[in-house]
Amino acid sequence: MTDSEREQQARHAADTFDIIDPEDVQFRHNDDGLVEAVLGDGSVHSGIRVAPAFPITRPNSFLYLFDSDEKELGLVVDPRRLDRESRDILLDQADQAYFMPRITRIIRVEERMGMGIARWEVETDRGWSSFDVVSRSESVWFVGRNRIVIRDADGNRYLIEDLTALDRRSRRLADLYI
Amino acid sequence: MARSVFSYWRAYLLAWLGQRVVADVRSMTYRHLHQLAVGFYERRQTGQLMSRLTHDTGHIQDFVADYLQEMVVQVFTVIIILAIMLKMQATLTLLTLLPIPLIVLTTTFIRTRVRRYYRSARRRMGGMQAVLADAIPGVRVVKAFAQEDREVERFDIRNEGYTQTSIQAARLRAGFMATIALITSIGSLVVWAYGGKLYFQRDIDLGTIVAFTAYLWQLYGPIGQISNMFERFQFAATAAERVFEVLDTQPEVDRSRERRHAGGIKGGFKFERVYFSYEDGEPVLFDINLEVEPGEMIGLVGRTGVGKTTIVNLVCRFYDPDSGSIYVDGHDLREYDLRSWRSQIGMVLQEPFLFHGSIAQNVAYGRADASEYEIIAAAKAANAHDFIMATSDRYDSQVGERGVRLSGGERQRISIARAILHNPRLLIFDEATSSVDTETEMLIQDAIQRLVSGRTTFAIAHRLSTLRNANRIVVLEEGRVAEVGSHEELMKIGGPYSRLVNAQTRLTPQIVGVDAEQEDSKGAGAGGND
Repeated sequence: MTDSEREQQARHAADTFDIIDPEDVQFRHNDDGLVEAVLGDGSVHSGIRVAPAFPITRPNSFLYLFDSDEKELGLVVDPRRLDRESRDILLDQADQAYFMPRITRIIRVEERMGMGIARWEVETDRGWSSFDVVSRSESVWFVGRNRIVIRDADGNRYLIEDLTALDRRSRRLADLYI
Repeated sequence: MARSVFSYWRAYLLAWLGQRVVADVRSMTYRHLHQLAVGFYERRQTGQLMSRLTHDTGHIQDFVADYLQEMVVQVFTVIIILAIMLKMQATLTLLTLLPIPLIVLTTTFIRTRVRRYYRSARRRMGGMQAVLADAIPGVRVVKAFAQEDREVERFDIRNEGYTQTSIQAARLRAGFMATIALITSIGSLVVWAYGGKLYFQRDIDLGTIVAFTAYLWQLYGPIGQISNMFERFQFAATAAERVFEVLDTQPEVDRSRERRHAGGIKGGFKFERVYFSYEDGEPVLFDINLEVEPGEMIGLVGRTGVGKTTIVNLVCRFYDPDSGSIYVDGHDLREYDLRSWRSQIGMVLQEPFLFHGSIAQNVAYGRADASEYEIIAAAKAANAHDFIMATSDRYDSQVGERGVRLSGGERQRISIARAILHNPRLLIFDEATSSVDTETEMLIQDAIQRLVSGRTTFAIAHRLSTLRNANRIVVLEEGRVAEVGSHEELMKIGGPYSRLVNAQTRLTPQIVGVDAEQEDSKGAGAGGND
């Protein structure tokens, strides 16, 4: 889909549900450190919570905003069109709202025989991590051909952005255990 | 060294060939399964079909990868050894071949018997799979009714049946192998007897007899091996039979008349003298005559088994009428290209079927190219957006197998969102709100109302209050149209519809009362069921 088609859809969608035009909103931190949204009509909403509608497939777009009363303010489709400061604040909030480290290397996977549990040792964009995966069929799923989400025993998500981009040993381990 | 390298490549290439051939067979069979009529699935158990696609193709693969190469090697060995023996002593060689007709006869005799056992074994393996496919998804019911022991017994009966059949086949095989060994021993006795005679006549020297005997065992060895492989061949052959039975099944309904694309249809229907039966001699629909305007909503009402779902099945072209015709926009339905026709249909069923994957993937099931905007818009229109945003991964949340991680009402709203996004000209609702609570039903009815606007709709419902927005109601009795009209018209007539409504009013006065109040407040004519 081209950008102009997306733009056209955005306009059509704006009639269907509450889309916030990036040019009509600014984000800032207030004195208490909470995020505030200043909308085009001049209204100020503090304690903004950001919820990506597609946290795995489109983590940095289609961001829903809720105020401190959990009232849905609307949807920011493309944060790239925000001013730089607002964009950084919004994306930072989105990142915090949905924590999902990206696996850059698989160091080791050890299966505990007969228990259906595998201990993964990985390097991620947030540093080294080790976690248990219970029931591979329920905890590992593909999002597209080479994009993989792994959910550990505690419910945390890890993302392999592109299986083919991993080093050879990581790919081999992924092939065996995914 | 060279032999090791050759052996490696031979094993690798044959395994590769086996895997490729069977992957193609599996893919072809699965593709073909999707071409088959709904009736094919109604007559077969899911587990049996899965068994054909996995176990049976697996046996073909084993044979191609592991045994075919061995068979080729052994056949070549037999030919080479025979050539050497013929050069050494032609008469003696021909005598060594005496047991061959006996081996062929024994093989032919055993083949039909052992194949019968293998066929039965394959069927019983399919039966085991069918029990699993039945009981595992239904585990809640099994536990709720404390029927674990019964299910285990059901499985054990098939497991035991499979084991017994396999043992019988193995017994036959053991007897066969022993017979082959006996026949080849007789062959070697003949060689010693005739060879001894030649020696004493000084026609042959002792060295030749010894060498000949050595070759003889090199000849009978591979023959024994080939006989041994015969069992695997039978096993693979019966598996192949079951796979080819699926592949040989004729796909779908008769498509010879299709020449129209259904894109852009308005959705006007005319049923003209339609008769239909699933089984010969058991008619389900008799002389159905009905005209439906484009965009009209038709409620199909009647007792269980009167043919409501059958009408929907004919509309979807899961089946064609035995006689009579269904016309869409003036053209016989059979003239429309099946795929393009079905792409015009959206269905919301009593038990919505979701596929393993994310919520977004399920909403966009009929349109893989749908944008995120469209997915959200469809979910909003289906009153599904709020609960989706409350799940952990929102639109990327996994729904589990068949949507098991969602409630019935949530699954239903996803299926409505799917229908909205699909944007069909024709809608079919089959008891879409019968299994949800009243509050969820209101959310779903609200979503349905948005969906049906401007689309020809057939709605089946037992709970008659859900048909309050239907333009006309068709009441079926014993496979015939008993009466047609709006709610008010049919209530005035005082026929079967009014009796059904009155019966439901007596059973559920409070619910109907609520419906009536809602209708009164809207000022709509089709109001309560009183």
